[in-house]
Amino acid sequence: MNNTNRVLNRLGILLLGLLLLVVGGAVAAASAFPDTVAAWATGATTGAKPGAGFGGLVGGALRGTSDVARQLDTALSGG
Amino acid sequence: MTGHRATYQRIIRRETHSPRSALAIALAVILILVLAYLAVECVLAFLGQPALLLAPRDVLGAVVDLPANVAASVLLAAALLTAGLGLVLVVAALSPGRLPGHVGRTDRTAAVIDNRAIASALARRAAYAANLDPDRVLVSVSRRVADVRVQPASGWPVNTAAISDAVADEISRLDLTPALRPRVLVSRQAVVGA
Repeated sequence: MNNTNRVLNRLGILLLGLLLLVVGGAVAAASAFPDTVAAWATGATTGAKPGAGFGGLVGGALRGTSDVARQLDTALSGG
Repeated sequence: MTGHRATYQRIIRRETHSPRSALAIALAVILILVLAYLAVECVLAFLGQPALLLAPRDVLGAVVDLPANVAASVLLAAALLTAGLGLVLVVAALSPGRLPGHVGRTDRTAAVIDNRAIASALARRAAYAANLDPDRVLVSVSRRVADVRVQPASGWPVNTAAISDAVADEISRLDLTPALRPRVLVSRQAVVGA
C-alpha cells in the first residue's frame, strides 16, 4: 500500500466523519432548541412558521430560497 | 547511503503506522451498498415500478415529518449518536494510529522491531540476571515503558538492582526509538519450584 492510498483512506474516513458530525450536530441542535431555530429561520426567510419545528424549518428554507429567486427575477426584469 | 535514508524513513513510517485500510474498506462497502440501494429505488421510481422497500419521495417526506412522528428525545439521541460516530471517524482519520513496534538504529537498512520480540529479549535477559526460569518473568512493552514483572522462587531472594541493570543494559544495547524506560517489579509472593 503506497502513500497515496494511505492518504486516500484517511481522507475518505475524515470526509465521512465530518459529514456525520455536521448532520448529527445540526439535527441535534434543531431538536434540542426547536423554538430558537424556528425563530431564527423565520427571521432569515419568509416561509417558515414559528414553532413549525424541523419540517417547518426545511420547508421554510426551501420556500425562502424560492422567494429570493422570485425577488431577483423581479429586480432583473425591472419590475 | 544518504540517498536511501528518505526511503528508509518512508518504510519505517509505513511499518509503524496503521494505514486504516480495514476501516476505509468497511466504510466504502457500506457506502456502496447504500448508494446502490438508493440508485435502484430511484430507477424503479422513474420507471413507475413499485419500490423495493420505500419510494424516494416517501423517504424525503418521512425525513421532513420526522419531528412529528418521532419523539424529540429519540430524535436528539439518534442525532447525538450520529455526531458521536462522526467524531470517532474524524479522530480515527487524524490520529497517527501507531503500531506496536520500535525502530532500531542502523544505517544499513530500515529495522522495525516488534514489541513482542523486545519483550522476549528483555525477559530472557532479566531471567538470566535473576537466575530464574524464563517463565517466571513477564514483560510488557508499550511505547515508552518496559514493565518487567519477576516472580521469584520460594527461598531464593532475587537481586532487584541486578535485574534493573541487566534490563537497562539490554535496552541501551538495542538502541530503540522511541527510547524505552525500564520498570522492574519483583512480586512479594514467591512460588515453589520455580
